Amino acid sequence: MDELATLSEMRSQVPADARYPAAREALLAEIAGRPSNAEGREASGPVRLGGGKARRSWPGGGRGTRRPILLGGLLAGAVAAGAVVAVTTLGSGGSRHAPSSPGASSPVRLVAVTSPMTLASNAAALAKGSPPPKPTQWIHTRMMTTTSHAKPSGAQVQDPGTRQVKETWDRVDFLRFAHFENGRLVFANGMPSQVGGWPAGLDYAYLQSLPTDPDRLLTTIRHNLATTRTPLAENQVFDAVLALMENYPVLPAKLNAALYGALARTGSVRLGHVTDLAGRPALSLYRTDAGIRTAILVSPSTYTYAGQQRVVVADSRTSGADGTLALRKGALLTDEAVLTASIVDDAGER
Amino acid sequence: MDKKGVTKGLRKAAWVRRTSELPRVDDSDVIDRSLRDPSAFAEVFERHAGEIGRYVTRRVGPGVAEDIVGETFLVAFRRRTAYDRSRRNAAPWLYGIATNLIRRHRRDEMRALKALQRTGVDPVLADSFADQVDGRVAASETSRVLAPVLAGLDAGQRDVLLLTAWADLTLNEVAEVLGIPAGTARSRLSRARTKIRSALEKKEYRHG
Repeated sequence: MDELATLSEMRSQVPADARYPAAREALLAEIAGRPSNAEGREASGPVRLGGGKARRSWPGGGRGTRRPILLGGLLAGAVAAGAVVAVTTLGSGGSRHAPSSPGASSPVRLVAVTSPMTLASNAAALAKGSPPPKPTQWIHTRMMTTTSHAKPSGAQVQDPGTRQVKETWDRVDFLRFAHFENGRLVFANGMPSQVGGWPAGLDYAYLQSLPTDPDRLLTTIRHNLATTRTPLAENQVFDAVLALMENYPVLPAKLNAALYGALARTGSVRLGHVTDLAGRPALSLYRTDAGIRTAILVSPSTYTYAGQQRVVVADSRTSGADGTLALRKGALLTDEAVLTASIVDDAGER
Repeated sequence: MDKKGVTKGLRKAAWVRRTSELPRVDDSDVIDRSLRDPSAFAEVFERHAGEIGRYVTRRVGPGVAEDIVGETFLVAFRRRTAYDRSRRNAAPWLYGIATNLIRRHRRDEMRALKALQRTGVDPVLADSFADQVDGRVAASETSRVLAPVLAGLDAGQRDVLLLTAWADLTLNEVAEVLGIPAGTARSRLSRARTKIRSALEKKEYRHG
């Protein structure tokens, strides 16, 4: 007796030609990057079919592709715990809307910042062309973050009120990273930069080649993204810009301004005024997606990237392939303040 | 009598027609193309939804099958960059994803098997043919004997056994898609087969 043959007869009447129209629709919606009708089917079955929400990366799992080494435990030793550290990049001005003009050469006309568009126009007015850094120079970054803990649901939740400062040197070509450990500079090998939503092998030469006209830049960004999913989901441009800024905290100034301009043209981005983790006033370009508000923080004096904040604004439960994630309104998912970001000649140089 | 043989024969015939009319394009080529053109992935669904759905339905019934089939292809689509393109046929990969999703429906699976054992009516078949009044709903006496054995296996054994018997995967494919060593798959299958054989032998003995 072949028991496998016997077993294969069991329930063999079930046909192989069923069509599964709802499953097909869910897949086509996912491919097209639009929310699926199946999203609302929660009550009808225990497995929730995908759509906009399921596509969201888990909070704490990082957005896009971030250089893994930056997130890794490697940097833990570089933490210099402490109270609020002196702000070096922002000057002392308290004025939110009218920064003192840097450099005396030509008067820069700035407008009151009342919208993403006016923020972008001030940034463009202040931006000067600069030569790209050499591949062997270093990006020096000091960043204040909260400490975090993982919840049983899988969410990485920040602990409000906590602060730590990480100081790192990434070589411009990203092939070497360095940080201080017990007073000694420790090096690690890196890898060519990969940033979600941007071409592989991203470098300053590419960044320098990008259009600095916001409309043309937006077209380029959408074009880059469209190769991975068509048509575009609305949050993708925002996520790509944030991914670039967090990985390249020192961007060519004109490109930086054009990135704000591109975001302003996406329509779903709003302007806010916030206090960052280091207690500094900051402008914020934010958008809300699937119950999470993500903000790119912008220095009101230099208009450079100043950090990011992500906060849950509506309770949500998400079932994904790897489990269920519950998020509570008010939970802080990310709070980062860039204290210093500059190009230096050597690792360890400040 | 041999429904499965008939189904298989039909499938094979359809396949032959297809290959004679169209240049043969492997699943791996389709998935490769979908990396540049995501909409190409719909073809993977067209090719495999039927057989994956059949396997899922046989395990948990038609009620949740549509959801699991949907989820299977969503997961597959999102993981397509990781697909091993040396595998020309994507079916084993899809069966593996579906099997992992079925685990979340263990209770549905158990409930149906126990009901079948208790009543002799198989809820999976009853639900599949709810709109038909012919005799297909009645489960065979053999199914009624097999049900408690399947329900009594641990999840790992049941996955290996049913991927082999119902999805026609080879032991190596089963090991690969479940992410377990081939030796583990072999010993699980062998233990499960032993239990089934002894249940079937007892039945023979009883009915003499």
